[in-house]
Amino acid sequence: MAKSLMVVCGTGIATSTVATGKIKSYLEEQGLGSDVHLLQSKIADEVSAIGNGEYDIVVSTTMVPSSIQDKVINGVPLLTGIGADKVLEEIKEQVEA
Amino acid sequence: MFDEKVVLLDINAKDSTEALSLVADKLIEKKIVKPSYKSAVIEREKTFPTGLNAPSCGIAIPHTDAIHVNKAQIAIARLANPVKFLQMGDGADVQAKLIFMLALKEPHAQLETLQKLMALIQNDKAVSELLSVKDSENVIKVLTENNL
Repeated sequence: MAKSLMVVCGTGIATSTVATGKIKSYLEEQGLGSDVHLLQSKIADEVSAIGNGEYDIVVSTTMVPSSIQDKVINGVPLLTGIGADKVLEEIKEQVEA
Repeated sequence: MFDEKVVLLDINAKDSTEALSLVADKLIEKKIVKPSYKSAVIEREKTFPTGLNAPSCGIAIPHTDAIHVNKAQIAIARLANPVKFLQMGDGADVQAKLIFMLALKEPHAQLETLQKLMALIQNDKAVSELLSVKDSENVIKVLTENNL
């Protein structure tokens, strides 16, 4: 079954869109496109779902409450390019885990 | 998304709130956003900061919910002196010299523009041009050359 990957930002319309696009093309390049179901939302709507473990993988471009911090990959490098490879590899590891 | 040419060069602001306010006022004046955009974008910046330490300079990409927006557009402002924003994601200090204020209508329609904007901020040459050009026509020219 495909894993769910939730991408969150503050509004759900700007930076999560960019991050989702980057992740999507990376996963396709890696031949993992069909292994992942990509979702996008705003953090305020997702805190409890993330806390409850409803998504297999979570990437955020905004600050998240400390209660869910260890469940979330910081996606900001996907926007600045600095450290983006590391983030993508971490996502890949979790997809393949 | 720059067709209204909202460009503010070397504005003086004592902090990020004043900078946001000056740029938002310009968008309101041009009726690109609703008057409610201003307080919404300022409030959102406090909750969800939008600074980014790009490779060659600090920038910020403030934005807020689509309900405050009439027309999709990006306003660009260059600050006379950098002001402190916080980095999205980790809250690190960002001394922002450039602000790209996003007036966004819907998520996926603007993906390409947002991707190009992120490519632009990673491009040292384009950023240094934006920091040095003398007038708004040349700002638009740099943006156009980078397919924005």
